[in-house]
Amino acid sequence: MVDESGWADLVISGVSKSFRDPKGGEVKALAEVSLNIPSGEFVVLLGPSGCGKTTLLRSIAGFEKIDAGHINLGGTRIDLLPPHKRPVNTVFQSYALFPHMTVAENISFGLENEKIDKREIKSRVAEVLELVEMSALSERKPSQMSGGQQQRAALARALAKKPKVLLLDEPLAALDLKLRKTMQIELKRIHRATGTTFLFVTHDQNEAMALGDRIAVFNSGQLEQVGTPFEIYTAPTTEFVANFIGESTVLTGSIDSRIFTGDGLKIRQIPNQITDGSDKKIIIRPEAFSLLSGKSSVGELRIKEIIFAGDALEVLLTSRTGHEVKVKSDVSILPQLSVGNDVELFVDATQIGQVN
Amino acid sequence: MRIPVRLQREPGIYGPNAVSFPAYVTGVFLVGMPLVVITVFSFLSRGDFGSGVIRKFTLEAYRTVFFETDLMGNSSFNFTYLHIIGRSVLLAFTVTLICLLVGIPTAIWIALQKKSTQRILIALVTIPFWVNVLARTYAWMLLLSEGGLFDKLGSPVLLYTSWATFIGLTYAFLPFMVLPIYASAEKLDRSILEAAFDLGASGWRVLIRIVIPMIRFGIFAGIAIVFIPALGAYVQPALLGGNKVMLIGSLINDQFGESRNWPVGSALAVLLLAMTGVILLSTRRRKLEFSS
Repeated sequence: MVDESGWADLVISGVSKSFRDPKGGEVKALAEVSLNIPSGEFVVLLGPSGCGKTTLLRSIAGFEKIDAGHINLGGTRIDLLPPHKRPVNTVFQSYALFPHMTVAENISFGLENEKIDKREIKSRVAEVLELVEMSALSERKPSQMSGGQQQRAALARALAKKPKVLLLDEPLAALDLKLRKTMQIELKRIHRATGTTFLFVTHDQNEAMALGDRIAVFNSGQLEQVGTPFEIYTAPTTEFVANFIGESTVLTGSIDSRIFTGDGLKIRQIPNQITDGSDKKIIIRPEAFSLLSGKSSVGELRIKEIIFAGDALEVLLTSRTGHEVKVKSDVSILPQLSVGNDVELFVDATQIGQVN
Repeated sequence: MRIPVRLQREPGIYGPNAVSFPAYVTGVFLVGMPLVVITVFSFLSRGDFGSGVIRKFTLEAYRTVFFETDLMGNSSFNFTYLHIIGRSVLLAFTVTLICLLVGIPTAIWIALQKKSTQRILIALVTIPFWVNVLARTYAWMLLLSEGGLFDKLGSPVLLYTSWATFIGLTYAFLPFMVLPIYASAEKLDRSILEAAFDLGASGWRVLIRIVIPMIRFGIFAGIAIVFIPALGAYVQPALLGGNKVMLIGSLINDQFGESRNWPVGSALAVLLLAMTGVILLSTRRRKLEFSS
C-alpha cells in the first residue's frame, strides 16, 4: 500500500482561521500557521484543547474553510476542494462508523465512491482488514464491537482509500490506558507497513512523544515549535513548550561571566551557547537536578513536597524567594529526606537550556 | 436501541402499578370498549327502523359489503365498496408519498440548522396544531373556492374536487411526517456525515446510503401516522371534496347517518381497522429486519 505517486508532501503555508464566538467576538483558531510535512512522515500536532490543532486537521480534510493561506498536497492546491475530492482521509475521534453497516460494508462504502470494480473492492477490503487484524470481525456491526475494535475498523476504512495523508483526530482518546498503549504500537506498525503520511492530533504529550517522527506544538492558534521528540524535549525553544512537554523548572534572572542569578538561586557553569544578559529565561529538566550529591552545587533549598512514584522520586523544593524547583531523583535517598527540611541541590549545568 | 428482554418483562419496572392506572383506564374505556362495541355491532342485525341494532347474530353486514343480491335472489360479487376502499387506499398512499417527499428533506434541513434555529422552525411546523382542524379546513375552502386566492392567481377552481381533498389532506398531515423524521435526524452524529463525505461520497450518495437508512425509524413512524388517519379521513373529503367522491370515511359516516345501517357501518370500520393493522404490522416486521 505504498503510495505510488511518491511526491506527496503536504505544505501548509500561512493558514489562518477565525471563528465567531456566541457573543459575536472573533476567536483566532489558527494564526498564519506554516508547516511542511514530507511524504511518509508521522507528524503529531500537539497542544492543549482549543489550541487550533484540530482546526488545522479539519482544514486539511476540508471540513473548515480557511480564511487565508493555502494548503498544497503533492504540488496541487487542495484547500479550495470539497472534502470528497481531497486525497486525504480522516479517522474520527468518535470513529464515526456507519451504524447500519457491517465493518466490511463500512470499508467498501468508501471504495464504491471511486468506481472500482467489485472484485477489486473485495480484495482491498480483505487486505486492509488483515492489516488492522480485523479479518474475523468483517461481518460485525459497530454496535457489536468494543471501542478498540471500532477504532481498528475506522482506521481500516480510512486506509482502504489509500490516502496521500491519513488524518487522525485524537483517535485513541476514548480508549483506556492499556488499550491506548497497544494501539500506539499498532499505529506505528501500520504506519511503517503502509508508508502513508500520518498527521495525528493529540493533547497527550506522552502519546505525541511515543508516536511522532516529528511533533508540532501548538498554543493559542500558533505553532510554537516543530521538531523531533528528542529536540522538543531536550531543547524547547519557548517556555510553553518546556512546560507542556515534560516537566521543567523555568528560572528568570541575569547571566554574567557564566553565572546565573535569579529567583533566589545562583547557578555556575552556564553553557556557552546561552549568552550573557539580564532578563534571561533558563529551563532545567527535573532529571538534570540531583540531591545530596552531584556536579555543581546550587545551595540548600527547603523541601516542599515529596512524591514517591515507584521508579522515581519527585521532590518539590522552594528557593528563598519562594520559586518552585522540580527535581527527579533516585529513590534510594528517600529515607534521608523529609518535608520542611533543607537539602543541598546540585545541577548538571550542561543540560540547562534557554527559552524565549 | 434494544431494550434488554429482562427489563421488558420485569413487572416491577414496566408492569402495572398505581401510576399507570390512568393509562389503563384510558386504554380500556376509550380505546378497547369502542372497538369491542363496533366489532360486536358488525355481527348483529339492523334495527327495526334502521337505527341501532337488534341482538341477532348474522354475517349479513359483511355479505352486504362484498356481495349484492338481485331481485331474483342471485348473489354476485359487489365491487362498489371495494372500489371505495381501493380509492381511499390510493388517496392515502399518494398523500403519504407526497408528505414523504416534502417531509424528509424538510426534516433533515431543520435538523442541520443551529439549535436555536431548529427550535423556531419546529415551533413553526407545529403552529397549525394550535388551530382546530375544521377551522383550518374552512380556511382552505376559502382559498380554493371561486373568487378565492387561488382563483385570483389564475388556478382553476379546485374546491369540491378530489384535488382539494388531496391538498387538504397533505397539508393536514405534513407536520405528522416532519416531526418523527426530525426527531431521528436531529440525533444524527455530524461526524458520521463528515466521514461519509471524507470517504469520497457525493451529497446525493450520503443522503441515500447514510442519512435515510439512519433515520428509517422516523420515516416508518411518519408513514404510519400519516397513512392511517389519511385512510379514514372524513373532514377533508366532506368539506373540500364536497363528498362528490365517496371514500371510506364518508361511507362509514353515511351508514350510521343517512343509510341507517349500523351493522354495515361497523363492518366497514372493522375492515378499515384490519387493513391498518396489517400495515402497522408490516412496518413493525421491517423494523425488526433492519435492526438485526
